Amino acid sequence: MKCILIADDSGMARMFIRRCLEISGCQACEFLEAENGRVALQLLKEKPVDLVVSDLNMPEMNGEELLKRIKSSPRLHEIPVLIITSAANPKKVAELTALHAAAVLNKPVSPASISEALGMLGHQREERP
Amino acid sequence: MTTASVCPKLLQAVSETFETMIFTQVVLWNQPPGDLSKSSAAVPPRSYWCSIPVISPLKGSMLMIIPATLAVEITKNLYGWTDNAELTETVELDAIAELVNTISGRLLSFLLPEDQSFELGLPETSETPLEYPQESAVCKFAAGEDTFACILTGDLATL
Repeated sequence: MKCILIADDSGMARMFIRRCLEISGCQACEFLEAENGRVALQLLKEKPVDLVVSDLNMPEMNGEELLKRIKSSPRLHEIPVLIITSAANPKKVAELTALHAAAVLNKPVSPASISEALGMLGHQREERP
Repeated sequence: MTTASVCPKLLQAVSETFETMIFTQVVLWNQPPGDLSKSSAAVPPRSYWCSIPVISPLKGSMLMIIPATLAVEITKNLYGWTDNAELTETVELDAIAELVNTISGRLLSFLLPEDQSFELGLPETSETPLEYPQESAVCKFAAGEDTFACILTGDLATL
């Protein structure tokens, strides 16, 4: 069973993202939730996670810092990180992609946009040697 | 306080957000603007206030004033609840904060060039009126039977 960590300071946003993921085929996934990047990192230390879905704008530790910490960790760097933000534009997408975000989605997300991102992630994995 | 010329773009941001998240249509509500904090006719007896700072490159904020009745409907819609059993003010305020966060991000992406990053602060919510400068601009919207307002301050008020 896949384990997905959702980091967002809004409980409503976490629920909404989880519902979109479930509609997109993750019904059998286990979900972990964190209200900021610091809590997300703690959860990542405690349990193997297959995918991180993170908001950008969070208190204590934002999504960009969380992304950097994950990608600089020898143990965690292979976990794909999907960033969901209300502040996405082509420049921000380029910045986050340079930091090895797997995908960047604009809020509001929908099952269709999440599904597309998950499909892209699957495709990226298939292309890996 | 004036009606903001940016209202059509804000309507686009509000509509996208409401339609995607709660399948609700929103239209501009063309009533003369007033001082929303003082007019009992403009602000329902029980309203939620949510403000989000715009940090860069524009400086200002967006404040949404929304009737509690609409906040309840939005929250129930988002969670798929058919009754009020699990509703709390905390959950309602969290839902409104997420809507405001999403709407403000959409608005800035419409207003700024594609190669321009922007930064938003964290939303603040309250059941009592939040302060805002007199030289603000307002856009009013209707969603079903309810109306709500967005007040734009700082650089956003002069666009």
